[in-house]
Amino acid sequence: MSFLIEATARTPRVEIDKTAFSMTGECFPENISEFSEPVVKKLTEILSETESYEVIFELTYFNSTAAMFLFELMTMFETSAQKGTSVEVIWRYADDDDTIEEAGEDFRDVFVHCKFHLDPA
Amino acid sequence: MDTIGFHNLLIERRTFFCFSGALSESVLSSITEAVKHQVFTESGEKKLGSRVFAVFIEQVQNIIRYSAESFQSDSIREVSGLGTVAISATTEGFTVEAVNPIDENSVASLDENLSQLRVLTSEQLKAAYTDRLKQGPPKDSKGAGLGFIDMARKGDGFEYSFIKSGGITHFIFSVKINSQRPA
Repeated sequence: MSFLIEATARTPRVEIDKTAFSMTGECFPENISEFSEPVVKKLTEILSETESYEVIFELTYFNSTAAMFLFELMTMFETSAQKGTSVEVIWRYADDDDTIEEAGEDFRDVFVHCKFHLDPA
Repeated sequence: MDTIGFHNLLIERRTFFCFSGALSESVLSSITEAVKHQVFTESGEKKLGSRVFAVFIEQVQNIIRYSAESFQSDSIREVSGLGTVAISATTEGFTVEAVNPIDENSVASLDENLSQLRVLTSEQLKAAYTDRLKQGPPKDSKGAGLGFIDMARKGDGFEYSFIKSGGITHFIFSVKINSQRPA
């Protein structure tokens, strides 16, 4: 059973299943905990029983509060990777979007146990 | 000032968006599309527009969280903060300004934080941003505590001041966003 949150004007589309996680769109939620809690809960369940996992971020904008949440998610993936799960992170962005590119570089440099790919389109 | 004087003032300072009053997350949601439309149309450039928009969002959320004049709505369980946020065109690009009443007790620490932030290079700001993410929010922060660093990174310099008016201390924070960035 896949878990799906549809995009709204201020939150991205989030899809989670046993093999992959994806987050697509803009992220500056009205209420960060309301948005983040079900995602963290679902991921906690899934990451405990997976051997390899694909993570796709395709964000066009996120605010500083959402950055904190993305960092929390990446920490969960990193912990899984450290425990032996093969985690592949694909960070997609428009090739002229320096802001999102830099954010991806920041994450890549911190979360070294994930196979992190910057993927400009 | 009369209405026409107010109109002329805004035109003269090239302020094409201004909101003054109680700001909340739901008010922000309802003005988001208008602001997006304006900044992307005015800038005519996606990259510049998105930096202006990002600074605008951080400014509004700071007012919501830190304005000393705040209200709690019972009906929708939402916090509002009193303040003014404005976006103006400049010769170099844009300015996003915010004004809100501030608690006298917060002035010294905010002044210290911002004076330290002001002198950082872009590399140092990048490092400060990542460090803050690693550490998590500071105790006195209701948000990520990252907002000012984020604005400093997306902007091209900021000015701030604390001004007493009518017995109330106001915090003024103004961020420049230029179309040409030094390499």
